[in-house]
Amino acid sequence: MKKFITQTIAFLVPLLIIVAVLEATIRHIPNDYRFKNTQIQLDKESIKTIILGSSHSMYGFNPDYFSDKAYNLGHVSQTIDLDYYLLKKYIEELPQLETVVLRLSYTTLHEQIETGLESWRLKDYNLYYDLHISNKLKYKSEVLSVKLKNNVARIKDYYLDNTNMITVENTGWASFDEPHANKSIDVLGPIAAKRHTADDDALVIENINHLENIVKLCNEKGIALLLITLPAHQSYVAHLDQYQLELVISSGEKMKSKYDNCIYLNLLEDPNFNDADFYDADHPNANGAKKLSILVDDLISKPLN
Amino acid sequence: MLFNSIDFAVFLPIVFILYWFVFKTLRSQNVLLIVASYVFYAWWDWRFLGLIVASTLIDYCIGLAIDKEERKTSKKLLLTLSVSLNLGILGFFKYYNFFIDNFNEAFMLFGRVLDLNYLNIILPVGISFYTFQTMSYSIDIYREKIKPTTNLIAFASFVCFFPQLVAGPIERASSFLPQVQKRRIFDYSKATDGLKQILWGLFKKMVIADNCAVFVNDIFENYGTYSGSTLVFGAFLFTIQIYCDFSGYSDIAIGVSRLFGFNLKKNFAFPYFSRNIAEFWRRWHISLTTWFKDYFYIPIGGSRGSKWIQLRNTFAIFLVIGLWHGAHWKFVVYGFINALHFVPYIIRGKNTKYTTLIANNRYLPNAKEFFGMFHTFLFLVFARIFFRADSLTIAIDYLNTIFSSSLFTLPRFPNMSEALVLLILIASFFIVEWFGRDKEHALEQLFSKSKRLYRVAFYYAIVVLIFYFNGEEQQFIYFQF
Repeated sequence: MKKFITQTIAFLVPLLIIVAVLEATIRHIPNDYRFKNTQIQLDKESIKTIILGSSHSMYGFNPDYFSDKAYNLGHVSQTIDLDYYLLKKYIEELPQLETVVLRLSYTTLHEQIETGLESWRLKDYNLYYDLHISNKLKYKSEVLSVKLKNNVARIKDYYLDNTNMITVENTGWASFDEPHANKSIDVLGPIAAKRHTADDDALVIENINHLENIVKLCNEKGIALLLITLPAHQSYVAHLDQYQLELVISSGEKMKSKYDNCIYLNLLEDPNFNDADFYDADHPNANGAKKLSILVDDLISKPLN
Repeated sequence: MLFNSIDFAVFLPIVFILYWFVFKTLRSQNVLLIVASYVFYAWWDWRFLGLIVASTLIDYCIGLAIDKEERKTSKKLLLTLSVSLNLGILGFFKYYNFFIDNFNEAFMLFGRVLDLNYLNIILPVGISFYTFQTMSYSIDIYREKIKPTTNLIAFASFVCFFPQLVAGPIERASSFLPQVQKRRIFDYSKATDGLKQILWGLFKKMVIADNCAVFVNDIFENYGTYSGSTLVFGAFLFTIQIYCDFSGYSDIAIGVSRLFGFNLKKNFAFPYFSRNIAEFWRRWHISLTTWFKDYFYIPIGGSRGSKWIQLRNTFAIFLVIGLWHGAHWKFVVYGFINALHFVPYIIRGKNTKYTTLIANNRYLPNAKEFFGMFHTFLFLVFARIFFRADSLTIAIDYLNTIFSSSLFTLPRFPNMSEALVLLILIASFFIVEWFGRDKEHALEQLFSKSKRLYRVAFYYAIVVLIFYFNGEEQQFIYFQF
């Protein structure tokens, strides 16, 4: 037994040392999550609007076009449970906060990051936003949550190629490098719609609770909440499941009628947005983001209702 | 808890240390195994622990009662009770909605609307495995092959032993209970071999199966947008995925058991090196096929009697094996086409032809063996389309697209370069398996005669590959059964 234990430990120790070194090396690499957390702290005394949501929000709302100081806290694949935890954290830290803009997308009620393919991103919220969302050990570590292959690529990009690892502006907004994706939007629409259509309603009740908690939290603090279903390309809208879509829209309407601080805006098929405003079937490009941000700013500058 | 999770990487050493250093008596070690097994299971969903406990108590009590009873009819009645209860639990959780669906459809055919309600039932992980294990215990007592145990702790350990609780190998009381009831002594070579088998299992699962899954999921979900040749590639990768996923699980289960001093049944014997379909089924999911052979095929007549009887029994066992995999007609069709492939071998009396090792004492197979392997593998690639597709209709659509003119184009899909790397990994994997095909597992003797430095370097290389290619923790395919 002694021999077995000694040999096993001797085999594992070099591995553990390598893992620890890698972990420290990777954590040193700048990333959007730590960047946004730092930036928002710098401007916390003046921020009046925060924007929450997934890539739809991250690419869709450009704070530069907001009259008052706004910050975009959206991230790729950020689901409504994470929106709620982020809001809970920052609502106490932003004394001037007046408005929260939250995307209510086709997928919002049917997904949570922990149950999806992007669950590895949970470590970013644990490590860089200090949110303590998951107790799973793997989400407390870069090395344990991401393929070594991807981590090696990150190390190479940052340490050897001096690549800028921050993909967002100082305001938290991100734009695509190209105005359009490689494939035609007409081709991408049905694929994205299929990918976004859920198999079941398992998470709906829990997500509606998260949504309502967000509305209530804003209500308690006297903060206005704008729920918004972003515009999408016709090729995407035409392939959405009507039941899932209706559930999202009716939830937005319900929150609006139930809470004074909440308004709901459904821009899914807004005719003001055309092919030139989309990067792909469900993400606005820089042009679309400008239009959308001006529209939202116009709306939140007026008194609610 | 998944074997390929960090949670398990923490859980296993804790249980190992407690088992060998703290709980040193046989009884306390068995109690620890039960507690650890229940924690392992509850990690997935604690609510279904009650089912395991119920299944344990039912067969413990019925086993004792069968042995005590002297009248044959009463023994039979008790056995019927055990089988009914076990199949009742399994049937309710696994097949209730399937039967409701088919009843509704059948009545619709006759112009009647039955409209029986579906239930929102979650299938408890491992239910098909542990109910079969407890059922075989009662049947073996009835057949007087074993004596029942009066030791409830030992019996509970047999039912819930965590390495094989959720996806087998399905153990028999005759081989496992004596191990539970006998004091285990730590065996260095057994433990190190166990670690090697765990390492190989993790490689199969995390490097091969999980990376195949990325392509397979995409191709099967969007089969309408791909060419016939790409669909063949998807089916080929699924054939590799399912083997590496399931046999990887079995390797880890067997390896972990060896760390605790137990020997589990071999569940896979390099099935893709089979020369015909009959040999394949003797090497694939051995614990399940032997279970059905002993408790279903032989009782209905087995291979005794005329060719027609043999054929009838072969179709019967394959249809049942198909249905065991899930409440879906696609699995029944999967079983049926496997049985169909058996027909020529049974008619020609060649279904038991290959019982020895392929290319014995040779490095490479001869042309006949190679053709046999290729033909068997190709059959499985196509048969497994029924296994993987979401429904029977989709499987047929998938096959229709394969047999179109696009079959003769080059496969095209995103990440072609990653697919190429995966193919190299698969080829390397099969080379290692080929050279270990006469062993319990592929790594058993590999580099055993080399210098320690080379051996250790090889193990490190596997660890690096696991870390390098591992993706999101993917559930094992057989958890759904």
